[in-house]
Amino acid sequence: MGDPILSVKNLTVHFHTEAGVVKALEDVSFSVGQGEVLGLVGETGCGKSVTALSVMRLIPTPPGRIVGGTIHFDGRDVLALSEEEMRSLRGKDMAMIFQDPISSLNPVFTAGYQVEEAIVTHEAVPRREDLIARVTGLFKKVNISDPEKSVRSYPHMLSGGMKQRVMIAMGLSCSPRLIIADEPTTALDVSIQAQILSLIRRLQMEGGSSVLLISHDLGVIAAMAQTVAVMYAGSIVEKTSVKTLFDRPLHPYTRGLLGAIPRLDVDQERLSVIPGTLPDLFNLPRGCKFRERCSEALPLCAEGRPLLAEIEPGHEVACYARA
Amino acid sequence: MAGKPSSLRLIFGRIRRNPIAFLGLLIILGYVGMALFAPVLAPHDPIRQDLDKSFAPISAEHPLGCDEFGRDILSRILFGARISLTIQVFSVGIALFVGVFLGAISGFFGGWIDEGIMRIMDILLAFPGILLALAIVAMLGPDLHNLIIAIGIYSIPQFARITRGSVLTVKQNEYVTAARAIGETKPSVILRYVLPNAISPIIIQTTLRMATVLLTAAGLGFLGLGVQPPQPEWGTMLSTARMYLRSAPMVAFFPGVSIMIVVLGFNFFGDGLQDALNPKLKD
Amino acid sequence: MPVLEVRNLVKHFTSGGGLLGGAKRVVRAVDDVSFTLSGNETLGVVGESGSGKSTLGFLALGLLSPTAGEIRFLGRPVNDLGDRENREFRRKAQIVFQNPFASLNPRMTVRDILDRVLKVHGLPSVSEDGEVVPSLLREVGLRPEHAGRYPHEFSGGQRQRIAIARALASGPELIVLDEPTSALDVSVQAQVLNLLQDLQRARGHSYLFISHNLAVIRHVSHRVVVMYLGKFMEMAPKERLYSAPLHPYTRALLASVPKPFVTDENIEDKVIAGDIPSPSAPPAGCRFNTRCPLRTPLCEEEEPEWKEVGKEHFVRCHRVDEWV
Repeated sequence: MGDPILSVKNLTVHFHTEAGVVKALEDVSFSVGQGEVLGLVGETGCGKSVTALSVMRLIPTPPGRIVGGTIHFDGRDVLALSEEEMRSLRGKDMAMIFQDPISSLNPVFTAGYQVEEAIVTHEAVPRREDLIARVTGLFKKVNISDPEKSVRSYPHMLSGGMKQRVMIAMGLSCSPRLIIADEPTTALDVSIQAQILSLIRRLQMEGGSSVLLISHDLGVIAAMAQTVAVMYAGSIVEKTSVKTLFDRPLHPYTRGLLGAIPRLDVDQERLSVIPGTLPDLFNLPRGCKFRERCSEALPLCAEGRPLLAEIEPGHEVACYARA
Repeated sequence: MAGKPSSLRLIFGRIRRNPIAFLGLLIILGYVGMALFAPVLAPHDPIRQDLDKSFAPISAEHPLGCDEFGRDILSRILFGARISLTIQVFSVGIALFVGVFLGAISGFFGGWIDEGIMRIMDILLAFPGILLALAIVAMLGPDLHNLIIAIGIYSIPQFARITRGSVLTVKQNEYVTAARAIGETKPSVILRYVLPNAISPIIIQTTLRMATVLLTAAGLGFLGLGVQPPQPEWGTMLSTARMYLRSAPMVAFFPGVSIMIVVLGFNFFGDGLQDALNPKLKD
Repeated sequence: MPVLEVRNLVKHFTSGGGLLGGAKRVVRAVDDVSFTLSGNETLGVVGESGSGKSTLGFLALGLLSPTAGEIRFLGRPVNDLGDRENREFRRKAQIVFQNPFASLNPRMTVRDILDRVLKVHGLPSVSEDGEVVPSLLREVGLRPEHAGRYPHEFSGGQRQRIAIARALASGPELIVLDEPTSALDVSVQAQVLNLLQDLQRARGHSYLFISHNLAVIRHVSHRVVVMYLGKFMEMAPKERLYSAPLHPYTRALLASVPKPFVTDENIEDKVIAGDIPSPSAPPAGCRFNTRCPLRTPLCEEEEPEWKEVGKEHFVRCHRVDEWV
């Protein structure tokens, strides 16, 4: 694989709000290899979207602030780049696909025009015919029905699935090396979700881009990712290959999460439950953030935060009970 | 977070951190204080004439001087605040009551009720405001009561429209459907579920309206259709003082400045309240 | 006697066609559906957007009036109830909505929210087990001291518990659950689903459980209906529907859900092609024909019948006999 395309080390992000400081991310470290799909999975407030926005340097500042850590993209220090350099990186080398295709497209321009704009921002394409041909080609590539007509359609004329395809076409327009997909199918119906997932997967295999896939849905992660990082309350608690994660989950939170999912293939009398609620991000407890909901908590867990440690080859867990 | 009601303390905290809004609040408090305590604060009778002191300059006895009839301007300004505040409170009160009622019905029921009420409001809005008030006062005769009624009526459409818009938004919320599902009657749904959640824009409108109403009352006073002399209403004072603008500009200056400061105070506070009640716009 | 009986229910929404509205468009949100729901039973209604599943729930509660067809609640027709019977119906049929952030009045305390239900129906606020509000809160897993708080002081899962307590307060026989866990995180969803099951065991009411999530529906339901563009496509007891689905749509839908474990299957092979047609212009013939891998010319012309192919197993498909 060589050097990773994206490498994040000890990223810490705070949000300063009226009610206090939210510790959205704490010491988050991971890397995405060339051509790898890394899944970032977790529930509301775990920090997965903040991670994505930090990598794109799109954290609204204020209230957000990257307090510590480094982000390297293709060997360049993202946090040290000027706004100008960052702009040329975004959309060209790093593309983002958002959850809500409906509000991500501008309703007053045609779908084709918006993709054209995305290209022209980063490249000089002298002839308009070439540009239109290229956009039509992209629309074909993402399986938009009737691409010649669709480039001239306004967003409201397209279905949710088609809009998400337009967003993907826009993301792919400059052949990015890293695609960040933040809940790309959450707003879509099950049958459309399958279409979009298979599209992203095909494009990733063909184009060799790396993907940082963010989802709350362990099913989506299982179908798409090679490596998975599970996040909880602003920290990564477990990181390993997708196969190991689903076969041998080690962190008590990962186990709880897997047990809580209703299954399509087996009857369950009762779902196993993670007791309690997410800790208050304004006021995190001492020690492990999962301690108060954990059935395996040790006295040690109240003392300090466990850090990610390789417990077996290729399997990192942040848990004192596993160390 | 959606639908989170802001507590009074939180709102006041936001106002305090906004210097302009806080200044507005101080002005309003000062103005209300002036009006309430005018008899205590005023050094002289605001109506008693003393022609010997006609256009008396600023002095320790008359901190703002005297007008053409030798009446103490400070005392007249203080008592004028009473009259202005009375006009504001009652006319905005009328408009608030009627406007919110009509707007809530219009927005909640929709259909032909909505059409009917809103077309009447459109007709009222089609008259330039002051002209409408002018016509009503001219019809009823110029005195304090009629002034209040006139200004009240012409302010109704603003409240009706704001309320209707707000009710239309709140009506979409699932808790309104939930209220119907538990069997609440329609009046109960409006009073307990819709209006309490539609109130913020109405409060903001009330504050901003206070400023407009003060200006209208002063304008009507200036045109001789407001409160009649010798009552010390600011607009009327300005109107009579304009004849001596060259010889004694101070007589016009103080009521003019009073109007300006109080109107600004309400506007500053209203804008600040808008930000405080809709923190989403700022976050 | 069944709790709910629905016969040939139809609901059309009309848009446009006003003075300046241009052409009238009719959305057949619910088109000729029939089912019964027994006491202590959960009927799961699953479908994608535009399937009409939420409209069905609103119709069942009388929150929308049907265009045609009949709904009977505990044997009595809902469409023409008198005032007193209507109040009785409102008491015995309740709803829990999807979004707990929008379904609770932000200006009322939890106590007010629950008290209103009791007041509206003239129910006592103290029963033989003590005060009603605290015992309702305990029943849904909250603490009595939560009563004085406002909804915004609670998490999404706790708010959904409050909404459930509100539905329980009047002692209903039917609760419509309209995507009750779709806005919640997986771990919270599990808590709420377990709670709903415990409550049903303890109280014996029926659920009409509406969701787009096939796994959730499997977990909670006794029988399941699959809806597509306003029509019932398949209805069967849960075990049959999930182990031996007959309608091509049901099969495709089940296949296209990403499973929370690693399989050798590829998501590419599980895709249903095409977009969901607009419910205002559904295809002629079988509604699924534009996306069906097994369609025949007949499917494009003629609407299939709602056929009983096994015990309590109904399917709307021309070719069903080929694979029964």
